[in-house]
Formats: sequence, structure tokens, C-alpha cells
Amino acid sequence: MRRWFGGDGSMARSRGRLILGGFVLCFGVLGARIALLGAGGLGSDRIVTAAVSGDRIPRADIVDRNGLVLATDLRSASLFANPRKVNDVDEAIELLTPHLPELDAGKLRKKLTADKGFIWIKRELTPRLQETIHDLGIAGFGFRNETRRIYPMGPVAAHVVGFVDVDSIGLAGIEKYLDARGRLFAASLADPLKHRSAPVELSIDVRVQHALTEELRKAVEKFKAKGALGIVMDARSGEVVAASSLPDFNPNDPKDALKKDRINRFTGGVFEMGSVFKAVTFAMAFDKGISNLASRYDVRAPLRAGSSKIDDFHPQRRILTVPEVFTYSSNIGTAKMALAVGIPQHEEFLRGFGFFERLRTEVPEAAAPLRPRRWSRVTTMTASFGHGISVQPLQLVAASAALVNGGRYVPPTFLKRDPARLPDLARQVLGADTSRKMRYLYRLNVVKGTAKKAKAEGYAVGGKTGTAEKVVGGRYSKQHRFNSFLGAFPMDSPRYVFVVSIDEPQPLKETFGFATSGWNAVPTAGKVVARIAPLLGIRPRTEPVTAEGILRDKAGG
Amino acid sequence: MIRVLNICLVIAVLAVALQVYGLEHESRDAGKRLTKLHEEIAEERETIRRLRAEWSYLNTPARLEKLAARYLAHEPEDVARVVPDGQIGEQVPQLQKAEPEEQAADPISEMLSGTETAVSGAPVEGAAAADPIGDILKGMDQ
Repeated sequence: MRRWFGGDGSMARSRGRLILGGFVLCFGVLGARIALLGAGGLGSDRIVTAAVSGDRIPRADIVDRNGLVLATDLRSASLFANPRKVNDVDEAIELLTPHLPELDAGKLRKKLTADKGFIWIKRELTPRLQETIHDLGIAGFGFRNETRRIYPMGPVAAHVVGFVDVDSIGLAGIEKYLDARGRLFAASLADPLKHRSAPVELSIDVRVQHALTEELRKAVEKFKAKGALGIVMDARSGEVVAASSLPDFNPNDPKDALKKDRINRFTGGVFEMGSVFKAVTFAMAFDKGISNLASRYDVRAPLRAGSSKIDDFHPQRRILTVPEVFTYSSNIGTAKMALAVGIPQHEEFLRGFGFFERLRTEVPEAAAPLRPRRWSRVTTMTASFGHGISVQPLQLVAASAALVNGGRYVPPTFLKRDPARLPDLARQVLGADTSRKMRYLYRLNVVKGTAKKAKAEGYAVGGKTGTAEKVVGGRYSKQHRFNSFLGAFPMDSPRYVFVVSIDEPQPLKETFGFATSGWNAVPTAGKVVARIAPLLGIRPRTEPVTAEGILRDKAGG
Repeated sequence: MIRVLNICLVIAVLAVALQVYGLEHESRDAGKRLTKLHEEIAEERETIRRLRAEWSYLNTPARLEKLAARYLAHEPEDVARVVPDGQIGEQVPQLQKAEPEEQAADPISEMLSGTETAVSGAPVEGAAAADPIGDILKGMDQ
């Protein structure tokens, strides 16, 4: 030892002291730290957050624009039993059956007396039922917790919200969109440890959605139609406040959703929209300076288009002014207007509105538009009144918004949109003067044209009707119609644009055997507007809004 | 001198050890409490989710429509009943004339008697659903 420390005693002692001092210092520091910790307790900032338990990645809630839950994850318990551990089978059955009336006592007895270690009694109990059964305290019974997706409002906005499969993977609608953005993105929204949970906010307003769907449902029943669709969109922000497609389904039980007629018709299908498409042709002719409201078109003779003829549904056989072409919905006049603009120019104009491309929104069901491969003279003539070109109804609504809102095209969305982002999104596609003329024509058509039945008193509705013949077996059929009303309100400064389409409405006695749009789609749209306008905060007005007034109003947007 | 110092240090070590032992105990307790609190928070969150889902179900427009039709005397807004600005003075006398008739009907008492039946547990469809989540799930494949 002594050798180790080397030389003489005093040296060794001083080294010993040095080491001792070192130890004292170190332990002193440690002791002081412990004393500090002891005095201060455990700092709350040090809590390590526990990992989210469970075997399933959580999904974000989906809420409507007012925060009402449309889809959420709920824990549900399933009741199982271990028959070997059930002491008194009779008592167990007697206790259980009053709470689970759908269980058959005889079958249950057979199950419980079998020599098994595990049997399911009832899957997916509600939390309340679970509590009740738990309180019964029957030996040999237990619960397994599972998480499942619940849609509290059932079929409301089902086509937008979509649904998930048993493994909680989105199969349609916004649910699928969330998955496409990445499971982790979806999970991050749902992270229960965040102070603020971030549900997915839709642009849908469930009240408007319900009113629209109900009116469509009534129309489908009344006119014995195959289906119907409706879209209501904010004309300025592009937010879809309601979109419905009938027949619909309940996402809590989505087995119906896969049937062919349950498709989402507003983006998942393309249609030849018919005369409602004329609005686009008119806007083009105004914007290119080819026509104005005083222009005249000779509609006395049908137009030759290849091997067939283009004629009018309400033939006037005279020279019509532009507003008359619109209100009588003259195919001849509109086709002539498109031809005057020019065939390639027409094609370019439609391309500019995105009619040739699949419109992509958050709802993943998006059908690709159909059009002839070669854009010919006949194509221009037929496309001018909405035949020979099939588009998603939402595409037409988005275009219609631009026609009436002052010429700004805003891409439609199913998610709530921050108004601050609008200037970056909107694209000026038409002149303000074109838009004013279109508002005039829309309103004129309701005041004295084919859409008189769309009058929702006080809300200044305007719009264009369309009765499209459907192709059945390769030919246009006079008996199979797709009727639409494309409109907006209030017409002097449109806040909302909408479309109502009824698929194959039948003529009725009360419609005097007619089945054109003016007799079914138009009155349905009128009822829809009368119901939704108060919900959307539009004040009814007592003073009349005339078409001429809209034309004079230079200030309007 | 060294001996005294050693004794002091031994005492200090014992004291510190005791303190460490106490702290460890405390931290273990805190850990348990933390887990329990986390469980409770998760439970509460689950309850909040459930209640929000139930609230949403109870707010289903179709249901509200039915209840409103039954208990409220309200009617859809009609532009014919909207009085333009500046004409209120002329319109009010007419409105007053209409009032006695309405009082005779006494919608408020009807409403109250209606709510009573609802509160006393009479089977009012959808009004006092005992188990909304159950209703949502109803009709699903079992």
C-alpha cells in the first residue's frame, strides 16, 4: 500500500486527503441533488406519455361544418362465456335473456352445456348494455373490448362520408381519402393525447343535406324514378354544403353500398347533362364577344348534323333573340351559337373549365368524363346542348358557379375551406359582364321561361332546365330521361349554386302526362331552395327581384 | 481525525441511501397513480366520444323534424309573413288582431302537456331513447 502511494508518509497522507476530498465533493453533490428532488417532488414536466394502447390504429372523427359527429370510433364490448366455468346454466340464462331478447334460450342452453372453453354469446354490445350485464355478475362470463366505427347519423351524407370495412380500412368517401393520405396522417388527427383533437371537418351541413335528401326522396317516390342526385355548393368558396344521391345506404351496415344503383352519382358517375349544359355555351358566346343579348338566331329549320337532324323540343319556327333561345331552350339556336364561336374554340373553352378531365376532389369516387375522340362539327353542335359529352354533375355545378359569381372558377371541395386561401384557389375564367348576363338569363328563365315552377318566393331563384334523353341500347330513348335543374340563388348576387337531377322520372296524371324537367326536377328544386335558404341564413325578400334589375345592377359581383 | 470523518461519511451515506429509498418508493407510487390517471383519462375520453356520438344521433335532422312537428307550433318561414322595412307600423295592427285566436289554442300548454308525457316515460318515439348507440347499431348484421 505504502509503496503504491510512493515516497514518504506526509506525501501519502496528502494524497489520501486529496482523494478523500474528491469523494466528499462528489457525494456531496449527489446528496444535494437527492435532497433537492426530495424537497421538490417529481417535476410534472417529466411525465413520459404512455403509448396509445390497443391493436388498432385510431381513425379521426368526421364532423359536419357545425361540428356534429358523422363518424367516430367507439369501443364496444363483446360478451363471451367459458362454459366450463359457468356454475348454474339455468340461472345464467334466466338473468341474461331479459337484456338480450334476441337470444334464443334453447340454443343458449345447448351452447353453455357444451364442453368448450370459449364461446361468443353476443358481439358488439352497446356500452350501456355492457354495464348492465356486468352488474349481473354471472360467473364464467366476460367481455372483450373491440373498437368499431360508428356513424351516428346513419345514412345522412353517407356517400360523402363513406364507410370502412371490419379492419377499419376506408372503402369509400372521405374515409377512403383519409387512408389515402396515409394511415399515420389519419391517426395523427385522432391522437387522443393531443390537447386539441382535430376531427376532419366536412363542408357538409347536415341540416341542408337532410332537407335536400328528403325532397329528392319525395320526388323519386312521386315520379317513380330510378334515382336522383342533388348538389348544393357555396358559389364563392366552392364548398359543397350538401350532396346527395339516391338510393343511398346506411354506412353502419354498408352491405347495400356495394350494389350498383347505390353509387355516388354526384362525382362517381358521368351523365349527358342535356340542356342545362347550354348555360356554358351561352357564357362562351358572350365571353368571346360572338353574341350579346340582342343577337338573333334563326330556328325555323332543323339543323343537319351528319346523318341526323337537330330539332327543338318546343319548336318556335321563327327568329329568336338570345334570351328567347335560352328560355325556350332551343337546341338549334344554341348549336348555331357554338358554331359561330368556332369548333376548336369551343373545345378549348370546355377544356379550360376542366370538362375533359376527371375532376378530383376529396371524395375518391371520381368518374372520368366521356367525349368523342375527335372534336368535330357534330360534336360541337351536340355538346352545345349537353349531348355527346358526359361529365360529373359536380363539374357542371362548379362551372355554373363561375358563370354566376362574377366569373371566378373555384375548385369544389368537400372539406371546410379557410376563406383566406380563396384568392390563391380562384381562377378568373369569365368576364364580370358575361356573368351578369348569365344571371339575367337564369333569373329570366324562372320568371317567365321553362323553370317557372322553381319559384321559391322571396329567394330569387334562377336557373336552366334540362331534359336529357338517355342512351338505351345504343339509341337515344324518348322514354328514358335524365332531368335536371341547374340553378343558383339569390340571383342578384348568388350565394349558392345547385343542381337537382332525377333519373328516369315517369309522367303522371297531375303533370298532364309530361315528364320533362319543368314538371319534376324544377318543382323539386323549388322546394329544396324554399327549405334550405332559411337554414343557410338567406333573408327572404318581399321586393321582387326582376331579371331586368339584375342586368342594370352594375355593382353586383 | 480520519476516523471522525469516516463516521460522518458513513452516517451521510446511510442518510442518502434512506432518502433514495424513500424517493424510489414515492416515484413508484407516482408511476402507479400516473397509470391510473391515464386509464381514467382514456375512460373519460371514451365516455366523451360516446356522449358526442349520442348527441349527434339525437340531433339527426329526421328525428328533430319529427319532434318539432309534434311539440312546436312553429312553421316554415314564409315570405308572405315577412314585413318589409319601414312597413312595420302599418302591419302591426293586423298582427294584433290575429292574436286572440292563437291564445285560445294555447300552444304553450299543449307543448307542456306534451313534454310531460315524454318526461314521465311514455313511449314517445325517439324522444327518450334509452340507448341511442343501440339504435344506431340496430339493423346491423349480428
